[in-house]
Amino acid sequence: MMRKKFLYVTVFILIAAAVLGGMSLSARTADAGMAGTYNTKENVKIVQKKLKDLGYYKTAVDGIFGSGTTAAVKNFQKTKGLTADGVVGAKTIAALGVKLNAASASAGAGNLSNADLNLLAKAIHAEARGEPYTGQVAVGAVILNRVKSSKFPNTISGVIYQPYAFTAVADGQINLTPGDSAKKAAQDALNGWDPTNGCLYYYNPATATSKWIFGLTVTLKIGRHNFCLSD
Amino acid sequence: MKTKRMTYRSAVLFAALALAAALVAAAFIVKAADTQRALENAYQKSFYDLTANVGNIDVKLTKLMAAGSAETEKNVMDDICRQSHLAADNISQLPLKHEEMSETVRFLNQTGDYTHSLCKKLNAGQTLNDEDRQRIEDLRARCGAAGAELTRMAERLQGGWRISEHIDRDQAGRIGGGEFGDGFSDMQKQSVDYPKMIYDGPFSDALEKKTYKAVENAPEIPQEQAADKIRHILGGMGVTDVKFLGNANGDMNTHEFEVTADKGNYYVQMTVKGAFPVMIQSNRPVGASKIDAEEAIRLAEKFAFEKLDLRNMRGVWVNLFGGTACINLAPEIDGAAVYTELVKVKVALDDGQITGVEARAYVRGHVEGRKIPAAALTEGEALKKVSNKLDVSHIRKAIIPKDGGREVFAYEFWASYKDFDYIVYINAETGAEEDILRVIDKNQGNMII
Repeated sequence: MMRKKFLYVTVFILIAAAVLGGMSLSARTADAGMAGTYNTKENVKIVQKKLKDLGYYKTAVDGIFGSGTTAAVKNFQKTKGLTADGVVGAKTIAALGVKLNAASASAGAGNLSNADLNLLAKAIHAEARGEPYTGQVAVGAVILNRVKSSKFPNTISGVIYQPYAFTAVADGQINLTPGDSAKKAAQDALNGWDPTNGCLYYYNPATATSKWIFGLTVTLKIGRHNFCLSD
Repeated sequence: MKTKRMTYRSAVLFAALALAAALVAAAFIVKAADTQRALENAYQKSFYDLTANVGNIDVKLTKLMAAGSAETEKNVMDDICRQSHLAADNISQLPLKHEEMSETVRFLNQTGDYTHSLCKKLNAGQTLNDEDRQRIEDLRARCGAAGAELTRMAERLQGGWRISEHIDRDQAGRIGGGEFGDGFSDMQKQSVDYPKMIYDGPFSDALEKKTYKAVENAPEIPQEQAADKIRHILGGMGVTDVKFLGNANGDMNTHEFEVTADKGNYYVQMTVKGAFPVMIQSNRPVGASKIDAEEAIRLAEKFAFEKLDLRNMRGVWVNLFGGTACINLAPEIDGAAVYTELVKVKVALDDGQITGVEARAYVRGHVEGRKIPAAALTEGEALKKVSNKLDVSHIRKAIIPKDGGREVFAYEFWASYKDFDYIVYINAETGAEEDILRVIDKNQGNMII
């Protein structure tokens, strides 16, 4: 008798797990974190400290919005009857009763250059984080050269997200957090440093599969990449 | 008795597991199908937008050919410019290989850019000449051919033909080519040729040929001598070794070097002709800042004077980030800042060492013995051309770069209005307002856009 019950329970648990697993695949979760212009380390620390004082957050006030912080925010939101999505936006900030500073200092400029800088850094990190520093700046410069070229999209995001232009964008590495080297390289590239002197193409001869790109004249090599001026 | 129960139990367990696996797989499949459909919809939207925009540009170009007044011309040009750039963006979102669409992108970008330059011409009080009108007709012919091809491709989509099903995967799993890509390749091959587009704009074909005025006529210097020059330039930075890596051969040939130094390595590019340091770069770690921006500018000017042999460079802009100051230096001649000959120098704010040099603008734009022309307007007359809303604090002369490689002699006004800081350029020969730049004051320093 006991054995049969055990069997039913096991089967029930398995089916429930499968259904929940299937549901979670289609469930939409917004990325947890600080909303838009509040996304600075100082602001995260303020939020963490308040959550700690209120008893929701137990670990270190380190300015890093990780899983512990996300859980604490969600619990707080649930208690306050807000949407428990882990995103600290205007409503959550008001409920916490904290004062946060917006990240950009300039009034209403939209801070285009910061967004471009961050995206460029992500692309450099994705495509060239194993390369020497000059190679990273070179990758950034190629992207900016493409923006200036009539044959490519006219924005940094257009160039980076052009389908199949960059393998590391296609396979999702673009979503990794860029390291310090990539950020510095992006800044240098935006300031005009171009070790390739105008190149529009680069490839790794050991891994590239496009016959077309091997037909281009190589202007210079840095690290594992060959850089080509034009087609 | 026991065996029968155990087999029964195993069977039920197995069935439960199989059901669980099936449910998980079903969830995956449903989600994948959703994503695929959304992607196909995005592709189709871009394709239909492209077709519509190209068709509109065709019609607008014919209107331009028939327009009788400057007002109509300008309005039509406005539309063509906007729709061309939209169309270029549309095609850039389609799953095509670069070589299948680059010529079409170029055509669309140049059409928009060119009509924009014609619009500027009309705004300056000029009229379209015969050459302009012929170009408009050539562009129209090309546009018509492209439109016909796109319409043909659109007919395919009517019958439930899906774009994402007609793209190939190559061995590395990267998509591109296939029937969809072939259609666009054909469109490029069959396209009507249009002449070299030489005009005043960022996408002009005139910019393809680059000149390097500073070193054009200089003798070629072998790499060993170039290496000696590097030791002089980076003297005092703790250099222990200079290693020649090879040459870069583009439109400007350079010697490439890796320089080992105490605090971190440098990568150095010297022009083959004249051994000019066109790029120096170091990624050495930088400690806590001890030097302020003023001192960094002074150090950069000193470096340009003593090590680069550039006698009259003055700091015109400073940008601070990551413990480093990036200073833009421009030659000051007869009180004018020559922005077409910029040299950028990076100074580490912990010890004042030079960690970067970027001199391509200088190498391309430097004119030996440059003379600043006499201005046709006085400062007072130029000041009248600046908007009276602005509160002007500072005036000086400048040579500024314009699209298409042109140089313009202008008065530079530093001004503010409400919370915003501006730099306004008034042409010193014609009085035209050449450019307005807005200064974004960030925590890192001052940067112009």
